[in-house]
Parts: sequence; structure tokens; C-alpha cells
Amino acid sequence: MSRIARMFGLGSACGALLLLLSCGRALPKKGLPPGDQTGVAGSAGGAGTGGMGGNAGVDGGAPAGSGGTGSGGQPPGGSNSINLDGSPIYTRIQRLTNGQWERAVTDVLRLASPANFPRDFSTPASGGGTDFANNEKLLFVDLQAQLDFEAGSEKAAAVATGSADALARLYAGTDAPGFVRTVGRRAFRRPLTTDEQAKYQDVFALGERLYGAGFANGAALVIRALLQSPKFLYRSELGAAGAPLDGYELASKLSFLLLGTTPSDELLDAAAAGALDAVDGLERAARAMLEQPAAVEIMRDFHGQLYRLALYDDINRTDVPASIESELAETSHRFFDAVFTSGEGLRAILTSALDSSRIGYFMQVPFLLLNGREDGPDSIRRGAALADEVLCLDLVGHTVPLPPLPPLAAGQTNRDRVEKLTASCAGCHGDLINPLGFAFEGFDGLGQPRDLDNGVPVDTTGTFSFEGGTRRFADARELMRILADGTQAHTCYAKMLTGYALQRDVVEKDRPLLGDLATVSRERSLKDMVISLVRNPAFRLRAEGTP
Amino acid sequence: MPNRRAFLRGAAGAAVALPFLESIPERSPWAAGSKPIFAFFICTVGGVVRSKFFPAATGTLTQAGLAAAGKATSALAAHADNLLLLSGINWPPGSSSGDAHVNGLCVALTGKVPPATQDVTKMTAAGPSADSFIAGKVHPGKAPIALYAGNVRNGYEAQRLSFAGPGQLNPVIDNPYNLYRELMGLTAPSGDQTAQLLLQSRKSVHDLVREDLKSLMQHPRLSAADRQRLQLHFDVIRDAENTMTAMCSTAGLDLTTLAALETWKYNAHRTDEMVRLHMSLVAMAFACNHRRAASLQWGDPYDLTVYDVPSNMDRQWKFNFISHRVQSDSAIGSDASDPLAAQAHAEVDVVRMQTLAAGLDHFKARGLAEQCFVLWTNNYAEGPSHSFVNVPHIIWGSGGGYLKQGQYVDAAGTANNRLLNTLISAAVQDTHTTVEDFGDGPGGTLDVVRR
Repeated sequence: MSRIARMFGLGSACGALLLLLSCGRALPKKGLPPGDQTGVAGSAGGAGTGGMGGNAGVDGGAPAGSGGTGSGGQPPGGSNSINLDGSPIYTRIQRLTNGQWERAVTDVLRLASPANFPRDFSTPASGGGTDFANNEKLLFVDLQAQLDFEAGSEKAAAVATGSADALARLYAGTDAPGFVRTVGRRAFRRPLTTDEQAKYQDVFALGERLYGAGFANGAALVIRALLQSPKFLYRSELGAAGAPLDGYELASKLSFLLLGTTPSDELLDAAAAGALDAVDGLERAARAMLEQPAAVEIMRDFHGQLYRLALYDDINRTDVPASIESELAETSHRFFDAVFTSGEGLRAILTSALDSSRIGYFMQVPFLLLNGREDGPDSIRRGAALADEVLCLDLVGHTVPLPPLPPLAAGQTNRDRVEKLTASCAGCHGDLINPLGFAFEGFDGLGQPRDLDNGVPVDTTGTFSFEGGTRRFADARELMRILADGTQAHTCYAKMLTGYALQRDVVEKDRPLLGDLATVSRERSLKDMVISLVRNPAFRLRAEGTP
Repeated sequence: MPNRRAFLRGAAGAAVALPFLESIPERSPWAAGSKPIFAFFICTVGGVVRSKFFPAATGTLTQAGLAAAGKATSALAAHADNLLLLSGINWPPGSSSGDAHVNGLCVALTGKVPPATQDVTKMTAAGPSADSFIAGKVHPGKAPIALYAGNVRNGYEAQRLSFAGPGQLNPVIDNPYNLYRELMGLTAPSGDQTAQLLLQSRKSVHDLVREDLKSLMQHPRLSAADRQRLQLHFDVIRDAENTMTAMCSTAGLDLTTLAALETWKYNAHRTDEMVRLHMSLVAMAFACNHRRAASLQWGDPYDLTVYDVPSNMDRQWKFNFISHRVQSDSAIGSDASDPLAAQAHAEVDVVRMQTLAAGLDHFKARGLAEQCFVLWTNNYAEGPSHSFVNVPHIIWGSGGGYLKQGQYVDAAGTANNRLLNTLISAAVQDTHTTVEDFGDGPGGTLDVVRR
């Protein structure tokens, strides 16, 4: 059992839950002759190792015995290609997310505990059709955000100046110029200009005039003004198109990406000294950040959004007690935490072994239960989740909802009824969603293993046309190995990481970057992917924007 | 199965990658592209005297017509243009077991039948109430404002209207002063030096931020989209100031009474006065965009309020006795057995509608008629029958153009979950979501109330 598997199964109170629901016989392989069952997974890494560096076979490599069908066309209503149809705007002024705001305020003001103010903030309206909520198109200052930031800055200023201890943590001196210079540099993530220094000293004086003489009164108003300034609220990239970002811009970009907060004083010093200008210097800084606990939180957010772990908060099924929803979410989060901290990546997400019957995240109880129904597996949701989250397919949504699944007829399996229900929607369901979902027919709606469905042996076999070609699989385990050894899942993962890190849509122009990152993903770790991304011009240089 | 983009957008269906410039909200006091809709749910207790409550016939409402109808709702005549009177709403089938007083409250905003319980005093809701549901949709992390006008510490049954989830009551504010204190930071009561200083310092900070934004907008390398983004930020600061000084002010609040409530004790004669104060503060909270959803339980389940209406001046019965037509919380009489109580009930209905009208005046004065709705209903339909059929509902405001106005309509025996679906959908329309499965009963929205 790998470290990750131990973490997933036993590392928390959730372990008992997982084991309780997942105990059972190993999943039988049904529906394929023995030759097919062994041949399909011929390129996979060793079963149950969860390790890296396995055979780097590509999708559609058609290993002996795989029985490829060669269909692979463009079905109506969906595509088997990675969706790169976004429309980035390459903003030069990226508003901080609420989470970044909270951490940055905590660090700028040296607050003893996280500010927690954004708990009351409105979340950005996600109306732009983006993969992640931190996308550049979603983050601007509308009226609600203005009111939130204003109230938040006022609360933060009150806390930071509310006691002698808090003030001493914030700034050791008692002079207004020094206070403005020190806190201003942290807030703007660069030294203040002469004009800015003078302006904020005036604000300090105004604070004392309005609220009475006293360092805290001046400091409080300066803090409110700094935290509402666009120079704090937006991370900027103002250099020429194609030119390297300057040291301070890089420090901010790196720190917000990997730690979700403003650069430390030390990182700003390094930027001032030019230590981030060379790629190797940038990599050193990034590697150090990746080992900090805050980086785990960032990657937790990344995986949480990528795999929609928030859905565990609202399963809303009569056979699933609400009390376990948070455990399902936390267990899943811990799994992804472990993938990151133990130096693994997508391969472990897909194939890390928990026991003899399950590998990877998608064969575990949380995913299977979330995408299950009270009367059995939800093959459509399971398949659609994989198509979307693992293969980045662009599935055309329904303009009208599917009719509900009818009850099973005597001798009818869930697979039979789903095929019947979706027969007229072959483009998406028949070719893309159903094959992926049916691979999990060996698990019921709670994620428990099963051999029979309505008295009939389950059929977990399928074929799928990846970007590189068609592969056949006997069950979910083989499907996971095909994904781990192929290209498309790693390219999708690279796309998602890039989109999250650069906070923009990823498009066809990014293909070379995705190719590089996918190679790293297949052969190395998530941390190495991050380093590779940070070293890439897409991160370091000012991207071409919209004129 | 919504795909990733639709999921993040919160809407099912095909993903459409909007051009960025279209995705930025228009600049307006409420950022029109994602204009917030405010939702206020009020539920009073004890039923009404149906024959004297609504106009005789459904149809268009006019101020003159409603005033001349000679019914309790005639007290709302000044608001006729913004009213939607609604009959024919039932609590979901199966709701009538147990204690009707509490049962009706538990179902009024949840649309779900409460779970059966041996101890009626422990009866609770089977799901979240609409105010919580809306707050969770539009403002995660911000609970609705949950208010109570009555004796919340009466030692028997009290708050049963606003639920965060099954059996999870939202904490309520019973003293309007406490809500006022919460809202104090949003505006500047005249004569309040601290608040004036806050406004003055905010203005100075705004000036500085505007200066920074102006300077940044002039940077030659910014794209048109970036400039538009900064312009939006620039404009909303002005809008926020305008909003604060116009809609979001203490104008119209009874500050003297509110201040006196700092040392407040429950008074059975002042329930409706508390309702008016609560409503005035909710109107301000909405105008300040402080919260998007609120609820008010108007009276205790076994209402202790003593209404000084003519037919109750001598008796001084608490309202629950009037509603029961007998001086008992358990026994129930009839109109015939106590005509004076029946008359008193009808008089209370008028007083309550006058109170509602006075509260709605605050919403009207703050220009919220198009931007919110206020729902009024009761925990059951009539006094002695405690019936869950044809429970009266009154809606004020169009909920962002979603709801009919100036009409009296009949829903012909529809379970209230469809009404709640409609109201929730109105309230969350800025999230591009339609809710059709709230509560129990048939899904979908209620066409008869939709514009």
C-alpha cells in the first residue's frame, strides 16, 4: 500500500467510513475474453505500486489484444479532443481573489490569526464560463466587492491597531514615515515611490486629525487606504509585451500562485537584488515555497475546484446521512494533499492502490457515492465527470433535461436502461460518457463492490476513442491505467494546472506548454510540473494581450 | 449533466464562453448585470377571518378599488400597484399532523412536511427555509436576517420560521435595537459623531483610491478590457457613495424609539410596533445591500400579543385566545360560540394589515419595489379551523420584474413549494439559476404569479 493509499484509507476518521463502505470482494472483470483483459493494460505500470515512471505508452497505442475499433470520429454533440476554446484576455491587472485578499491582509498587517473577513464576502459571480473561480474574467471590483473590501479593510485596520501588541507586530517603530514605508512596501509588493510616500504620510496625518493624536489613529487610516488601493487589490504586469516581468512582479506572481499571499519581506529583498531575474533563481524560490504548508492549501484549492469537491457538501440523498458529507470531502482533500506532499501527481491520482479492488481516486467511495443514486450507480454522472475532469472534453449540455431513469425491469441491468435512455444521444452519451461511466458498473450507488446487477452479472467493459486513438478496457481499473499511461489525461491535467496558475483560459496557442507539462506529469510529479510551469516563458514573460 | 463551465456558472445547459466585455457587469448602483434581488419573508400567526380579508373577486387591483373593498387588505390600498394578493395556496399534503401552530410555521418557508414527533413542542422543520436557501445561493457565508416579533423567551414554543437546515433554527433577533446596532456601520445617523467620522474618512480614502485608479488607467500598455475593468471600479466607488447617501440612510427610521429599546423588555401590547421597526430596518439593510434575504416571525406560535382593538379592549385576551374563540390554548370554539372574539379577530386583521402597510412604506420610500419582494403569509388559514388549505399570501414588489403586480390571483389549491420555487428563482435570478425542486410536492414554478 502506497503512502497515499494509507492516507486515503487510514489517515483520518474518514478511514473507517471508507473501509466500511468499500469492503468486499475484488471487482470481477466481465464481458471480455481473457486475452482482452490482460492485453489492454499491457502498457500500465505495476499494479498497486502507485509509483511514477511507468511505461509511457500513448493513448491509442493499440497494444496487442486491445481490440481497438478505430472509430474515433467527431461525434455530433461532443468531441473527444481536449477543449481549448477559451478566450483569455491576458489582463495586466489581476484582482486578488477573496482568499488571496485574506492571506495578504493577514501577512501585510502581521495579524496574529487569519483575518477571516472574507467569510462575509460575496463570491465572484462566475458568469464568464471559466474552469476555475480565480479566472481573470471573474475578478473585478463591482459594487458588492467594493463594499466588501471597504468593510474588510476597516475591520482589518481596527484589529491591527487595536492593541499595543498588534501594533508592535505590525511595525516596531513609532514614526509615521517608517510605518508608511514598511507597511506600504508589503501592501504594494514593491517600494513606494516618493510621491506615494508623501501621499500616505498625509493620510497618516489626516487620521490623527480626524480621530485624535496618536500613532494608532494615523496608522489605521493608512491601512484602510493601502488596502483599498488598486495597487494592493490588483497584481499588475505592466512591462512590454513579450518582455520578462520585473523582479517585484515575479515575486508577487510566484507568491500568490504558490502561497496565495503577498511576497514575504525576504522575497521582496531577493527581487530587489535581482535574484529572481534568472530562471534558476526563480526556480530556487519556487522550490522553497512548494515545501511550505501554505502551498498544500493552494493545491488543495486547485484539486478541490478541479474535481468539484464542494459537491460533497450537498449530496442530498436519503441513503447518505448528511453527517458524513464533510468526511467524504475531507477524506478526498487529504488524498490530494498527500499526492502533492509526497511528490506524486496525476498517475497517483489515477492508480494509487488502496486495496486489491480499487486504485486511484475515482474508484474510491467518495467519488462513486457522489456520482451514485439511491437505486444504483449513476453511470452518466460518473462518465461525464471523467470526461470533463480527467479528459477535458467539451460536452454539449442538454437544452432539455433527460427524462428520469425508469425503474429496472426484470432482468434489466442499469447499463441496459442507461443505453436505452441515451440511445438517441450517441454523440455525447454513447461514444463519450457511457463507456467511461460503465467501467464503474462494478460499484453500486454507495460505492460498494458488486458482481450482480438486478441478478445479472455486471458488464464493466468498454472502448473509448481518445485523442490518440481507440482503447478497449475490461473495467475501471484498466481504464485508470490506460489514462495514466496515455497522453490525454496528462494533457488535461496540464491544462487545468495552467489555467489555475495563470488565472486565464488555456487555448490552442498553449499546446506546446501543455505538451511539456504533460510529459512532466506522466514521468514526474505535480511539484515538478509547477516548477516546469514557473520556468516557462508563459509564466515569466509578459503575455501578449488584447490591444 | 452540466459541464465544468456551466457548473461554475451555476446554471445547467451548454457552456457559452462570453466575450469578456460582456461579462463585466454594467455600471449602476447595483451593477445591473448582476442586479441583486432582495427577499423578505414574513409569517404571522393565528389565521385570518377569511370572509373579511381579501377582496370578493380576483382581478386587477387599483388603489381606489382595494380601498373600497371594505376588507382587511383595504389597509394596503396605497400599495395596490405593487401588490400581488394570492389565494389558493395550501401547505403540502401531510402537513396537518401534530401541532398546527408550529407545524404551519415550519412549513411556511420550507415547503416541506415536518417530521412527526411525539412531543409537539419539539416539532421542527424538515429542510432549510427559503430565506436561508436564498442567502446560501447568493451570498455564501452570510446568513439571512432572521427576526422575531413576540416573546421569544416565552418558555413554550417560539421561533419556528427560519431554518438553516433540517431542525437547525437560525438565530433570531427579537429586539430591533440589536439589528439597528448591526446596521450602524452602514450609514451615518445624524448627530452620531463616530459615524460621521467614518463617512468623512471613507470619503478621503475614496478620493485617494480614485486618484490611484485614474493614474493607473492612463498607463499606455493597458488593454481596453483592463481600462474598462478599472473604470468599473472607479464608478462603483461613486455609486457606493451615492447609494449610501441616498437609498442607504437612516432617513425614515424612528431613531428615538430605537434608541429607547436599548433597555427593552417584551411587552405584549407592542408586537406590531416591533414589526414596523423590524421592517424599517430590513428596508435599510436591503438598500445598503447588507443582506439579500430576511425573515420575520410575527407573533408567537401561541401568540401572546394583546391587541387593543375595540372588541378586545375590555377582555384584553391574548391573540391566541381570540383566534381560538375561547380563553384556552388547547380548546377551540367557533364564531357562533363567541362572536365577540370573531369580531376581534377581524379587527386584528385590519390592524395587522395597517402595520404591514406602514412597514412597506419604508421599502417604497427606498425605491425597492422593483428590486425586492416582501412576502406576507400566516401559519394557517383561519382561526378556529387551523386549516392548511387556502392560506392567504400577499406579495409586495416585483422581485426584479419576475412577479406580477397589481393583481389578485388564485392558485387553485397549489402546494406552497411551487410558490417558494418561484420566489427563490426571482431572488437568485442574478445567478442565472431557476429553482424548481424546493420543498415537497410537485416541482416547477407557479405561472399564476409570474410576470
